[in-house]
Amino acid sequence: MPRENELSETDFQQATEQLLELRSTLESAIAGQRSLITQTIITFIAGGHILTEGLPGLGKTHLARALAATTDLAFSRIQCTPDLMPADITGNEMLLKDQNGGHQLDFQPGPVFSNIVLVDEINRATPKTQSSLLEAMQEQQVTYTGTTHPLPSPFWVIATQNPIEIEGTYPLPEAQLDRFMVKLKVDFPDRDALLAILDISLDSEPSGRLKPALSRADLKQLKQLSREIIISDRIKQAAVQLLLCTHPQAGDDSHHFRYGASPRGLQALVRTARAHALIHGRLQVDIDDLEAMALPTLRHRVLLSIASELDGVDSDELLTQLIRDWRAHV
Amino acid sequence: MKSELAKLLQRLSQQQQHRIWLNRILQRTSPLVYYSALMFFLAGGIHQFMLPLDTLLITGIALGPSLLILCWHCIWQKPALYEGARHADKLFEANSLFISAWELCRAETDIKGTAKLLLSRCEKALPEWSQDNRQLPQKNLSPARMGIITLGIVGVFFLLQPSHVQVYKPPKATLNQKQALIAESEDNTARILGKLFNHGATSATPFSRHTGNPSTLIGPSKSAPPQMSEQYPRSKDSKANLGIPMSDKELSLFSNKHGSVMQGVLPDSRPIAGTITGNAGIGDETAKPANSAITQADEFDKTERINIETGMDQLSKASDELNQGYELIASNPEQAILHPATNNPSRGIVSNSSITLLSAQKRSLVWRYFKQLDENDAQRE
Repeated sequence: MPRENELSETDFQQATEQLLELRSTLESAIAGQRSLITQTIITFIAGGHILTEGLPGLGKTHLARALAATTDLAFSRIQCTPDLMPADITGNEMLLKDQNGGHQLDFQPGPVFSNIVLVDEINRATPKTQSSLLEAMQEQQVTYTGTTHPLPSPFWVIATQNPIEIEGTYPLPEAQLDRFMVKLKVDFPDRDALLAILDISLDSEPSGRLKPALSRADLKQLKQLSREIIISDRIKQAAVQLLLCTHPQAGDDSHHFRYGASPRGLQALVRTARAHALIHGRLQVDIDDLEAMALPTLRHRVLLSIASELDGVDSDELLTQLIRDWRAHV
Repeated sequence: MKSELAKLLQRLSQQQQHRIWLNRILQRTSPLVYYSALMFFLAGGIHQFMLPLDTLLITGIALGPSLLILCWHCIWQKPALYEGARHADKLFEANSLFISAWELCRAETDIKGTAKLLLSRCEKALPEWSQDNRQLPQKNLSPARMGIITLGIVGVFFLLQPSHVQVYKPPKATLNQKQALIAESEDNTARILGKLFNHGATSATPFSRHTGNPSTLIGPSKSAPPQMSEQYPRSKDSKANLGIPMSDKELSLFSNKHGSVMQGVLPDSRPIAGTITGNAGIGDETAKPANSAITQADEFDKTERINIETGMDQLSKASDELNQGYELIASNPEQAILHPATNNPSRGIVSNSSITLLSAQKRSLVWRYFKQLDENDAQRE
């Protein structure tokens, strides 16, 4: 998609079509997860990292591989275990023999040096290991013995969590959860999706058969175009209002929260809303875009009060109700 | 392009702004309209059927608060133009295209890239938006609202019509004035009675009590028409006795009521047996035979007569209207039956199959006497 001159209507429509094509390609490899695929694409275009949570075997790893295949990007996988060390993620220096017969220390990059990094069961790694990864996510570089090594661009992290095996795990602290742009919950597929899975991936992984739908240059332009989507003052005010609704001082249902979403959450909300408008062919962000991306961007940034947790209040249900009330009044 | 588009967007925003303003005023002042309509309806009903009311005061009470609050809403509740743009965006289902373009047009920045593209999209959508703006449905009043407003109009109509209720307003008098009125009325009573009995001194008094056969006396009452009286035997000694049949109960009431007046006024309290019909001492020096001709009053002096005539004429007419006159008809001297005058234009005392007419002055004078007595009693009470 050429962007040498002024953006035209054709260019914009082409950009939208590319995203839709990417989505359809991914849907051909992963059945019954349309919402998950759409939100994943949106987050990638918005330039944020993804935290997914779901039962084992729902296709989280498969999704990351398929995304890498369709975007012609390098893919790496990190399987977290309690004995995983930070150097196992970031890399370390090794003593190598040079051509002159001498020895020198050479930095060997770790699996984090990739375009798309899948971090499986991040909650099983120790906090020290988690922090090394999160530092890489935040700064897009790795520092080892005083030497900074930049990570490749684009750089995306898809981290996964298993909600049922909590023994021997180290849940991510809220401060580190905040670094993920969205938290996506992977739902169990329905009957038709299960039948499609049998047809698609019974004997082999379909992600290996996928062809690239977007080049790196296209991805770069899509990201740039996403930043140029118009946000009116009304949308900004609505986004701020929504964020403030999650704070306990707002009253009504928000008193169940101990902490509300941070300003980083507001940024995540607006960025993903821009990408959502782009994939739906709009040049401007609408309230519908905010509403669609509100739950994924805010669910991991709010903290329930102890009383509400003991009462069994579900954070997602509470947020959904807050969003609904906000939508009615905006 | 930007300036023209800005004007069009501005115009559409202003239209929506005015629409919001009007809807807001109508919505927030509708309870006031109901209040005013119900006030007018209730006041109109009271004014027409119960108690006359001051139309201006009622109008002020019904409309005053409503107008004040309406003015407040008109002045302080006018929405901003931004609200009009937002409302337009929502109305046209523009998905923030309208308001984004509106903000871009008002911003003093260069339009390029996606902004330029957005404005071009907005230009393409404007004809459809203008069409939607013209085709907005009119809101109709609900039947309940129409009913309440109709009641208010009916109430206003009632208020503007003169009231059918006649309210008697007794004159207000101070204590001294009241005392003066009482004294004057007593003077008048004495004067009238004096005239009555002085001129008929040889005749039997019209007010007497017959032992065994109580005379019947009835004063013209302002209230109910006179009832049928009892029949009383006529005494042989009775002369021209202006007697009006009265039942025992009425007599006892009248005696108790006016006993003191009677004693203080009557120059002659000798009882008169029976009821004698005839020209009983009113202007007659001698009792005329029962079958005498019509008698006229001739004892009053000229001034007296003029005064009485002037006053009495009015009073006699009034008394005739109120009391329908009195007609005393007796088929024989032994009986005297009082009938209210109906179609018989002659009113008088009949005896011995003859009719002796009372002159208008005499009749009114008697009526006036009894009325004065009633007023005395009312003032004392």
